[in-house]
Amino acid sequence: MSRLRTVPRPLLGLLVAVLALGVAFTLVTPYLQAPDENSHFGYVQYFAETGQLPGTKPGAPGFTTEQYNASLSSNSDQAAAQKDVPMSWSKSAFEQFRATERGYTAQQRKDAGGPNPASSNPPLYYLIETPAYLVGKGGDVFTRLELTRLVSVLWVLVTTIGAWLLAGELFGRDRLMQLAVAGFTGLAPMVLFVSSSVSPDGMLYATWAFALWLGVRLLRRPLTLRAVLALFAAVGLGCVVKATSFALFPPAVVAVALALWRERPELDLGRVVKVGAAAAAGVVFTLGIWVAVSRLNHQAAAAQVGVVSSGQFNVREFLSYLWQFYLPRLGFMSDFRSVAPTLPFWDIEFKGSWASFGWLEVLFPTWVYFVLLAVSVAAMVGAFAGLWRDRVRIDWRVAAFLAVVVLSLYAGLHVSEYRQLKGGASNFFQGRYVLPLAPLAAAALARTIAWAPQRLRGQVVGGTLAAFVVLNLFSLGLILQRFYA
Amino acid sequence: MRSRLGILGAFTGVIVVGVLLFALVVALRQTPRAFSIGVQSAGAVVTLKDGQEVCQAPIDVPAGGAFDRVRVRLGTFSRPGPPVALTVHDASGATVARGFLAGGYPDITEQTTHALKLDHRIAAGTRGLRVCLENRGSNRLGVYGNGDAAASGSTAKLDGKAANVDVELVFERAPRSYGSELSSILDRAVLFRSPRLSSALYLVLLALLVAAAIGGVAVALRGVSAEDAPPPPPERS
Repeated sequence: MSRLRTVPRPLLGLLVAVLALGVAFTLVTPYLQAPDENSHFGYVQYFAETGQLPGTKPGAPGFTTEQYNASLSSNSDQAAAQKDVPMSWSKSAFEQFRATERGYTAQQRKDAGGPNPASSNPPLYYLIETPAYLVGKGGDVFTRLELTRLVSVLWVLVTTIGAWLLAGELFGRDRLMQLAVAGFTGLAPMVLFVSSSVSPDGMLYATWAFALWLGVRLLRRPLTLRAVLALFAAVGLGCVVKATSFALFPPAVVAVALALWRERPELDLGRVVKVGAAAAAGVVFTLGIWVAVSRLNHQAAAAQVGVVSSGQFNVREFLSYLWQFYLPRLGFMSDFRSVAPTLPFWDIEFKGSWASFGWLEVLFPTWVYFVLLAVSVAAMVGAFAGLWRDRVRIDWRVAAFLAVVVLSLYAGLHVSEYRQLKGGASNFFQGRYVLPLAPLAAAALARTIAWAPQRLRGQVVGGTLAAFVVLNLFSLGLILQRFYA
Repeated sequence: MRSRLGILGAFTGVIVVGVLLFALVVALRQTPRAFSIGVQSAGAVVTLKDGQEVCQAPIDVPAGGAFDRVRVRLGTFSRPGPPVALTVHDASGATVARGFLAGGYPDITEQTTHALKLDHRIAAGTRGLRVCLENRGSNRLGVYGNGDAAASGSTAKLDGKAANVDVELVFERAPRSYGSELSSILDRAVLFRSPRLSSALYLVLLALLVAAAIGGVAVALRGVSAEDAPPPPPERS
């Protein structure tokens, strides 16, 4: 209890709010109606039931009989991404499935093991989900799904805490600004929705929030080996959650390099070696363990990295693809076809990072996104204007670190998509893939609010947090309307 | 010291406006949809010549799904659309409702769907219906739908022979607000889910969670307003 008292009350209150909304999303989102949730739950089920990683049995189905039949009965596979197709509304079909499921053998809960789209993911997230699955083993598949979703929700609490800590480094111990940054992060509808589904993305956001905090902290304080170890351990952990986190290596190296640069002219080679060893230790005892395990299992440790780094790369073509992601194609450009109805940035990245639920087909009316665009643009303008105004005082090393984080993530995502499109595959980029940067976006919005007169800042933050809660209320209603009305 | 009243007032004000707006949307926004069989059209799945008929069966009307019109997607191959007769048969084969679409309508590029009004309302809970569309004109008629897996447990037949497709059918009635449909919405939302809750308990639980979220943020803001604001940064010389 005394430890709880040391947690600032604003953070405690916020965590209650985030947890409540996260649980609400778990209860409203229908069976497997979150992006790739069927694959991720299938991974958890197979791992929990057999102790083996999925994708190791070529020729075997990707999902168990139980999961497949539940999808059939509930119509979840048909409904996924098809906005006019509802979930099953049949009570008799539900009762029939439950009666049938009671007769399932243990084998029918583990008769998968073939490739599923998530099977190339590292196992850390799924390992953590396994106890929740096993607790629900006496129940039906829907019980096990709900339990694993509830464990997943805990990651959004970690993300919120990471954002709070990051804000503490960026804005000092200004509780209002910390509440704003943590609140805008934890109450962002897509962060909540994704984190409340069975998906490693929720844990990814949490590891990135802490990596961002540790990187800024490393630069704001005298460099210690412990700080370096912690930062690279967070990066390594992130890589064992999802390969996206390899994008954290460049900024982590930049952060350490900048911190070492600050120590000159006292800096010597021995110091550099020690710092390097601390960084290596952080990676070895996290990512290194997974690499060793994956080699023993004859599996790729980071299959997705292979996509980014392999294949042809034409700079002019890539720039053309990049242009077409954000802007209309010019006549002389080759056509990088997208599934987006208009601009990929708008339809996929922007809408997907603010509010697109289900398998991304559940959307608000377009005008809502225009309002959110205005808020986002205002946040960016306000943040950059704030940087300019504070240019004498701000720590440019921190700014450089954060800029490299953003550039590294976007570079990885865009290069991956470019290579996939060149290879004939469909689009790769999703709005939720940029949500590891949610704490930075939240910090930008908070910095914009800081332009308000001091005496009004609290009201503006309070009103904005309320707006986030209301947006979540409408999001929950939208999901119910889409599947059940 | 920050003004606690001001901060909480701003928060509460936006929450109240937001909740009221939400309640207004639920009360005023209407939908004509009773239910669908869950087929998302990928194109014309059957072509009906004069006198040919396609039937989709069996169709069960869910709770709250009473309907008196059927919306279909039809293609006319760039010709004026032929008259279409729609019949609804019960499980015994008796005709329980009829609808008619007069000929002359444009192709799908100009009018994507057509709602055929029935002469009788079909009650919720009716099971084993068969819904048929017959081409009563000389021009060809494309009926839209998707592969046979689209509607689980139901399939289409062309002139009595298996067509291995599903026809897109959306069942409607006079527009009603989402609020008036809330009971049906919740009854459906508690299915294929755990824990097993009644729809009333489900609604109460969701309301409590939203209330907890509002309360949590209020507590957070109260905690912030209890602290002194940090001093403003020094002005640049």
